This record gives sequence, C-alpha cells and structure tokens, in this order.
Amino acid sequence: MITLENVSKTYPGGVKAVDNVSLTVPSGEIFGFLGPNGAGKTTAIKMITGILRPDSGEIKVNGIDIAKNPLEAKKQIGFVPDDPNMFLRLKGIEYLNFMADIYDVPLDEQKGRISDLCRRFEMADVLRDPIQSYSHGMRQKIIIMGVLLHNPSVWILDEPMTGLDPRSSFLLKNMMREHVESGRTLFFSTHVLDVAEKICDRIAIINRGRILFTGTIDEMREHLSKNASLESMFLELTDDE
Amino acid sequence: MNNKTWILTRAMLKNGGGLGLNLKSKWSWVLLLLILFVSLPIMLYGYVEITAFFYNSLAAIGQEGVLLSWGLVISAMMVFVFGVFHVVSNFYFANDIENYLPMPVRPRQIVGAKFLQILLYEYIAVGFSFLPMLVYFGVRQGVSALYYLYGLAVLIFLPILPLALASLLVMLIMRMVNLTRYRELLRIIGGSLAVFLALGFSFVMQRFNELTPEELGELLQSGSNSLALMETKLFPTVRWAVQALLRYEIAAGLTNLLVFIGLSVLVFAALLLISELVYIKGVIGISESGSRRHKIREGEFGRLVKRRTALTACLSNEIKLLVRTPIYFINCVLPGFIWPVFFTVSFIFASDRSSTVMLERLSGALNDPNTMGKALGIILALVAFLGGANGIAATAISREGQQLYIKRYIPVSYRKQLAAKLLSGVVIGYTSVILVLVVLTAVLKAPLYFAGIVLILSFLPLLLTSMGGLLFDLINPKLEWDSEQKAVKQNVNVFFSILFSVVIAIAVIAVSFAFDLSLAWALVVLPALLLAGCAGFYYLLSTYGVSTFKNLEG
Ligand SMILES: Nc1ncnc2c1ncn2[C@@H]1O[C@H](COP(=O)(O)OP(=O)(O)O)[C@@H](O)[C@H]1O
Ligand SMILES: [Mg+2]
Repeated sequence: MITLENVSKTYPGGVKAVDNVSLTVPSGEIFGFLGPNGAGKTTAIKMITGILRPDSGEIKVNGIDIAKNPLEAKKQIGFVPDDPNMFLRLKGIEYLNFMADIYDVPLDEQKGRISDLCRRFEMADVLRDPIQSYSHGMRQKIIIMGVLLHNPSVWILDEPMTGLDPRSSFLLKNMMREHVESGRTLFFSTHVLDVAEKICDRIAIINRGRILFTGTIDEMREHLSKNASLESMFLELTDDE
Repeated sequence: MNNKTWILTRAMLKNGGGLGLNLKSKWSWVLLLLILFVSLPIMLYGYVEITAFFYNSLAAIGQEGVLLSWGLVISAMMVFVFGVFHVVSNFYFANDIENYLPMPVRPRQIVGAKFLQILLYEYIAVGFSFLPMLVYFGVRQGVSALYYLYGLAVLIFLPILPLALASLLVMLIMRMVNLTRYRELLRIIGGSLAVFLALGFSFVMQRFNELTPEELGELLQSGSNSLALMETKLFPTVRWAVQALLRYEIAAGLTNLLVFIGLSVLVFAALLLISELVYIKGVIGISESGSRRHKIREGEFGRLVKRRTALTACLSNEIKLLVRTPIYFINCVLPGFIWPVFFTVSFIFASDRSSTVMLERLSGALNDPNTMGKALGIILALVAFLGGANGIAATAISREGQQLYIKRYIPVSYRKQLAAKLLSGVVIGYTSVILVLVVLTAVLKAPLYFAGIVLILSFLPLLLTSMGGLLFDLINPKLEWDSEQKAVKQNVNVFFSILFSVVIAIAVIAVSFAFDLSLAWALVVLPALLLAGCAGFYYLLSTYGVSTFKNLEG
C-alpha cells in the first residue's frame, strides 16, 4: 500500500510540479497514474521512491514513512524508471547480481529466480553481454528483471509500456496481474488512456500537479463522458504510441 | 576554419563545458577560496624562487635566455603529453561525437572544433607553466611593452604545434586500431598505446638532446644566449619563439615571430587536411560493444550467481565502471600505472654514469637505518600524490552525472555508498603502490620488511587523499554533462584534489625531515599524523558529507 497525504513539490525554477496531492494506492489492484506529458507523474513517483523530497506532506509505503525510515521503505519498493539507460557498462548478469546483493535476496532463491525470469523474458542468450549492447526494449526488460528479482511488495513503474514490442508488453501485463493477485501493490504511470483502460483496476488522473479524479475504470469512463474537455485531452494522446 | 567549426565549438563548450565551478552554498565558496588563497601563493612563491635560482645561475654565464627556452620547451612538452590524453578522450571517446556524425559537417570541422576546445584548456596549463617565467624574465631584463606583446603572441600560438602533433599521433593509431576485429578491446589499448608512445617519444628526444661536455664548452664560449637555441630540438618551432622574445627590439624579432605564427597555422591546417582522411574511419562505431550471444545453460546459473554484501557490490560496481569506461580508464586508472613505470624505465635504461650513481645512492638510502625513516616519509608522500592525482574520489560524485538518482532509490545507506566510493579510490591507488613496491624491491633493493611496511601504511595516505577529494566533489559536484570526459577532465575538483595531496605530501616530508625521523619513530609519527587527518575527514564526511549527499537532487 502507498499513501500520499497533501504532498507538494515545487522545482527550483518555480514550477509547481505536484500540488497538494493525496492518494491511496491499495494492494491487490493494478493502479494506474494517468496524465499528459508534464502532468507531474514522474515527480510524484520520484518522491514516493525517495529520489526527491517533498516540500510538504507525508508519504508512506506499507505504512513506513520514506522520510523517517528511508532504507526500510526503499526495501519495500521495486522501481522501474522511465529511462532504461542505466548500468550500461555492466553485463546483464552482473546487474542482476548487483540488485540481488543490495536487496538482500537469499542466494538459494536468487539462482532460481534469475533462470525463471530469463526464460520468461527470453533474455538468457544475452545475459553475459554488456547492457550497452542491448536494444531499448531489452534494456527495459533487464531493468524489470532486476527489480522483480527481490520480489518487491510494492512495484512502481514509470511509463513502462513505452518502447516495448507487443509480445513484451503482453508479458509485462501478465506479470503485473500476477503481482497484484498475490496481494501486493502495483503503481504505474502512463500518458495513454488506452493503456490505462486495458490494464488498470483503478486509476488516478493528474494534470498540472493536481489529482482530477480517482476511481475504478468504470467510474472513470463515466467521469470522462461528462467532462468532454478532459476526454479530448486524452484522446489526442491515444495515437502517439 | 569556417562558420560551422565555430558553431560546433560553441555547442561543445556550452554542453556542460566549463570547469564545473557552480557553487551554490556560501560555505563551499569560503572553503574553496581558502584553498586557493593558501596553496596558490605557496606554489607561486616556490615557482618564483626556482625561476630566480636558475635565472641567476644562467645569468652568471651570460646564458639567461636558456630560461625562456626551457620554459617554452617544458610547456610544449606538457601540452603534448596531456594533449594525448585530451585528444583520445575528446576526439574519440566523448559521447557527443555520435551526435555530430550524422550532421552535415565535415570531419575537419569536428576535429577543428574539438581541437579548439582542448586548446582553451591548454591555455590554462600554459598560463601556469610559462606565464610566470615570461614575466619574471621580462622584469629582470627591464624590457619594453613590445616584449610582452610578443610574449602574448607566443603564448597564444605555443600550444598549437604540440597539440597538433598529439592529435596526429592519436588519429593515426586509432585509425589503425579500428581496422581490426578486436576493436573494442584495442581501442582502449590504442588510447593507452598513444600515451605510452608519447612518453617514450619525449624520453628519447630528451636523451637525444644531451650534449657532450666538449660541445657544451664550445657553446658556452660562443657567448650570449647561444645555448638558448640548443634546448629547442624537441619542438623546432620553439626556436623561432625564443628568437622573437630575445631579439624583440630589432626587426629580426618580428620576422622570427611571424615565422613562428605562420608555422603553427600551417601545422594546424595540415592537421585538418589529414583529419579528412583518417578521422571518420577511426571514430566510426566507437560506441559499439561486443555481444557474443552465448546461451546460458540451466546448470550454468549456479556458477554465474554470486552473493556479496551491499558495500562490496557497490565497490565492485564503481571499479568496473572505472575500468570499463574508456574515458575513466585512460584518465583515472592509466596514469597511476604509467608514471611509476615510465620513471623506472627511464632510470633503468639511462645508461649514463650520473643515473647509475643516483640509483646506488637511492638504494643506499633505503638500506641505511639513518635514512630509512625519511625514505619512508618520501615514499608515503609519493603515494599520497599518486592517490590524489588520479582524481577518482574527486570525481566520484560528478561521474554519476544524470544517473545520480539511482543512488537515491536503492536501499543502501548514503554512508555505505560514500564508503564504496572512497574505497574505489584506495583500491585503484593500490595498483600504483604495487608498482612502487616492485621498483623498491627489484630496482632499488630495499629490504622486504620495508616493502611490507610501505604496503600496509600506504592505505593511510591513499585513504586521506581520497577523503579530501570526495569532500571537494560533494561540495561542488559537476553533474550536468553529456560526455564522460567532462566529468573527469574538465573538473576543477581534480585540481583541488591534486593541491590537497601536494599539501599532504609536503607535510609528511617536512615532518620526516624536520625531526630527522628514524624508521622506528617514522612508524609511530607518520601513521599517527595520517590517522589524525583521516579521523578529521571521517568526521567531516560522516556529518557534512553524508547530509550533502542526501540533499543532492540530481
Ligand atoms: N528537474 C526538473 N527541474 C525543473 N522542472 C522540472 C524538472 N523535472 C520536471 N520538471 C517540470 O515539472 C513538471 C512535471 O514534470 P514530470 O513530473 O516529469 O511530468 P510527467 O512525468 O507527468 O510527464 C513539468 O512541468 C516539468 O517541466
Ligand atoms: Mg514522466
């Protein structure tokens, strides 16, 4: 479970990227965070994961306050950033080992999980190559594998579908579903209405740092049909992926 | 030279250019200014003292002009050697190259722009190495304004020839390296090779330049400043620069100056022409990396999967990054190898009597109980310098760049992450120590127990200089860059780190000599001194350092 209470963040330049946001992401449901580019999704996620500190407000992950007990809170989370260009100088297997080491994955589980993830993501062939030699989609896959390795109870993904081929995004959807079915938490952002409609159980819509709506998919459809301007904002976005 | 070259140069300089002095807090300013105002005057004072000493000795035999030749040749030499590092980094391994390749620009325009960019940094170096000497000479000679005008012109054109030579050397090597199948590996080796060749070349030229006593006598006889031109064989164009400065009052001075400028421009033009032929073929595919696609069989996972503590995992990550990123390897790791090897080799192969005598003396000092304490001091000072000069800790935060955010969400305490960064500096520093040990035992025949002492105690100067460097980088990290070389080459923290390590080195030597330490006393006093320093910096890092790191929102 993730809770945000009256969270705000203004960047040094003066942009109020997140404006008094309160949000509860329950476990057991796929929770989508929908908003156009520049809405404040990444900023909010960065605060939940401990990358940025909010100017005001409180954030708890599984009841643990990220400001007061950062290490414990961070251990709950598996985070997939929007930019998969990281750890490029490491080989795939080295990155996976690194993640297992810092998230304290027991060695006997580590082996089985790596081989299982490799099989599912079809990455066994390239595990001994540097991540630098991977394509964009492969980089995304290896980052996701590293995150799933420690079986996080809260899984957070920033724009995960961008750049994945249909097969991989289908696979990812299944894994997201599996994750929540075991009673854990999943929070992901997207700027595409279509993606949100197809995957999510529950949705929050954000624009210019403010939450405009929270509810189930059906409630959202109803809400959008009443707010023509809001709907058109997203309809423009459905095609660009 | 044309419009596009300028446009490229400006773009390159803007993209995270500058030396990385973007201080935000007031305290950082105070600290940095303190360092500058304490250590720079000391260095300048030392510099002037040495210059004065040489000037007076040379003036006594009517050869003070030699001073200018030395200054020019040493500066040119420096530009050449450091130029090789710069060129490898800037021309080949800078990440921005790939942005320029698809643009409708000619190779010579990229090379020209990169060249100008490096040239700017070389001016800072030349400003340090030659400007004080130029002014000192002028003041002592009571020259007119024209001398300074000529001096300025010489200063501006001086780095062009050596930098062009360095560029040519590197471009040719990289062109050849890129032909082969094992490009990826060879490129790093090629870069290293260029550096070695440059050093070897300068070494050979230096030997070549030595005079027999008879020749020297003859030259001395022949009068005022006749020696000045002898010193310029290595960089022939320097000869005209010297003439211009020595004879600035008469027309010959102007002619010489014009020849000097003309030649420099010509060499630069030649470089651009040649770059059209060899540059692109050397740089193309520079970021490709090998992919073997070996299927891992089920049974193999057991062997590939390891388990380490978070600290070891972070440390091994840091070291892999340093060794595998060509820019980091060439600039942070390689120099630590090269300098000890280079000095040893030049000692061993210098066959003349003076160096043999020198070798015997050093060996004697390392075996004589009366001098061993001081020898230990000197060696630890050397280790401190090698540790500070590699700039690993001083760029540890800067190197993270835009990826710093990763450090903020992984569940590893900031204290541990800083410790991993410190240790990476110590570990790489130990590679130099190992080389120093080889020299100590194999060449200088120091007793083994002495080598053992050095091996253990080296930890302290390495740790202390790393701590200092890391603190500078925490105060003033350079996180906005688009190519790795801007994080490690154009980073003022490396300069601060070197200053800091020089201060440590001087302190260690001063204490060992002032108290005439025996080995037994040295074993007590020097570790105590270094430990005290480490303790102080440990306190600073674990309070101020950790909280600064925590607040860096990259
Ligand atoms: N590092 C930053 N500095 C200043 N402003 C930023 C920074 N990052 C994002 N912003 C601004 O904050 C707002 C929200 O950005 P972001 O959270 O990245 O949106 P999203 O992820 O929804 O596209 C935008 O207006 C953006 O310009
Ligand atoms: Mg975003």
